[in-house]
Amino acid sequence: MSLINATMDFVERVIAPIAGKVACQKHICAIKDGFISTMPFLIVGSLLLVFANPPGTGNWFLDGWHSVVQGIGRDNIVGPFFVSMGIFAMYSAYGIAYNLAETLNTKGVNPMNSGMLSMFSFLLAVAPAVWVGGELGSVIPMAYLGGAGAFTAIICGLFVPTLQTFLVEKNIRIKMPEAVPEKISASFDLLIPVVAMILIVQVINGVLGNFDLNIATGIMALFSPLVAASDTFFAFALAILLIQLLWFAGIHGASVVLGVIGPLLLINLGANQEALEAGKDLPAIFINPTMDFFVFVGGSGGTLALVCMMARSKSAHLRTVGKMSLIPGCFNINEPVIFGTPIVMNPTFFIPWILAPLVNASIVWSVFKLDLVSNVVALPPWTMPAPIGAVMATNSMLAAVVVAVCFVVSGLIFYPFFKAYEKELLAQEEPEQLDEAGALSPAKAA
Amino acid sequence: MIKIFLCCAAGMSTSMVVKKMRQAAESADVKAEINAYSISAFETEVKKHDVCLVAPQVKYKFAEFSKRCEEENVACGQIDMMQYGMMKGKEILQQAIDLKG
Repeated sequence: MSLINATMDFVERVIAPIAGKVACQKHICAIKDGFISTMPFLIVGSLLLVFANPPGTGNWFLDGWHSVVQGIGRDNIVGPFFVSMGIFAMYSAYGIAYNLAETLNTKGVNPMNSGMLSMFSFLLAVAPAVWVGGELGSVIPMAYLGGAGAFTAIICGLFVPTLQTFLVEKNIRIKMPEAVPEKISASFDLLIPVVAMILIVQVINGVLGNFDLNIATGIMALFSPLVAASDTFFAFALAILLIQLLWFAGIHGASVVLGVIGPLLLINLGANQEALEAGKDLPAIFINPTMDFFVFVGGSGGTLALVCMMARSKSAHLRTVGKMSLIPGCFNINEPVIFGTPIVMNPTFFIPWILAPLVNASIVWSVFKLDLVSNVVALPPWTMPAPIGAVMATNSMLAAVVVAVCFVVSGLIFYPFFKAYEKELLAQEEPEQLDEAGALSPAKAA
Repeated sequence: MIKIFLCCAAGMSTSMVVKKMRQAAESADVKAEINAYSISAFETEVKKHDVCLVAPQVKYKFAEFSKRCEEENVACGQIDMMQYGMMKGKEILQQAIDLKG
């Protein structure tokens, strides 16, 4: 048990404070919130892509699906995908700058202006005007507006509000006479930053152009080891381990960890979608749904099986929490289990809490590696019930079977520890009175 | 009339707690407006409410939030982990009322 105690101590004293700082860090928060604001587009866009690509032929359902797609016209369905998921980096460039400007809260810097300038700079960097049909600029190249431009979007989103703040602090601005209304003078505040961004981006474009490079390819080349590293079993297991450790300390692990690696996972998703559109093999495995629906059935830790056992527990406390958590758990919301049981800082649950998701991670990774289930191509909302979410994300029926396997495996791993905890609680519950809800009044949390 | 807002990561589980708190307020005949927000909405909501309650899974935000709340003259508290997990609407509502004083 001393190893568990040492780990618990380490989590509370070292990991939790670091995670707290990371999750509060303004720039990381801005990146996370910027990407989150693009989610509705990504979800709808990616599901349209799945709809446009039936997973095969040969039975009445798939053949019917094909004919529906043909009836509507495949291009009509895929069109919205190209302007949503297909160019998500452009939206992120706006969202990241907006959120950063909002938290920096510099007097005289309007978040919307920052967002627009960031999007402008991003387009200038990754979508230079091209000659088509004898006309310059009638076409914007799309190649870097999606995943391949994500890092450029992050850099623009972080740089623009920083530059604006710098200019304001140095009082470099066009001063309008006192009599000019504030709204009008505010619109002049953006003139200098716009010119500054044109100078910065165009000079870099010019220099890189001499080497047959552009900003997006250059930045992507810099970050490509990171993208490659994100799609390995090691990264997958490490992310899951960190999420579990943080939750054990009572901190929302997924929001901290995904805040940092989220952009990489979106790039992985973009790569898969491009491959799907081009009819090639899907390269990436680690994308949010791989974790959300397969490893974490019922929420972080994969607690749905535990919740089912709890709902039938002899302990009144566990039974109450279990019953209360059943419906939210079906939608992958499990704070009631985590805090109510509690699992947080509860030594009895430490081993299964870490072990069950890692065992499931190995199963899920093997299943994808062996091509038993096709890789993730869509991003259903994480609150989708796991088997349905898994099928939608992969467009493969077998995914639901894998989810069921994960559910059973985590149940088996949790079972002995659940039993031990139940015994412990039953010993405490017997002499005490039950309150009107049939639940034991929770002990004062330590 | 007491205006309370709860903060958590995405506003999902908190909205369940809010529902329980509203039920508790109704049965106790307390006039209360209770809402749930994600932590990123804190800044826009802080001025509109009397009490801010921080959910346990974002406890790392508590120090920063309580400082901002003090500046805005809004009461701020942290929800007890077990009460949160057990969705104890009545007790959490009581906490908010006590905080407002």
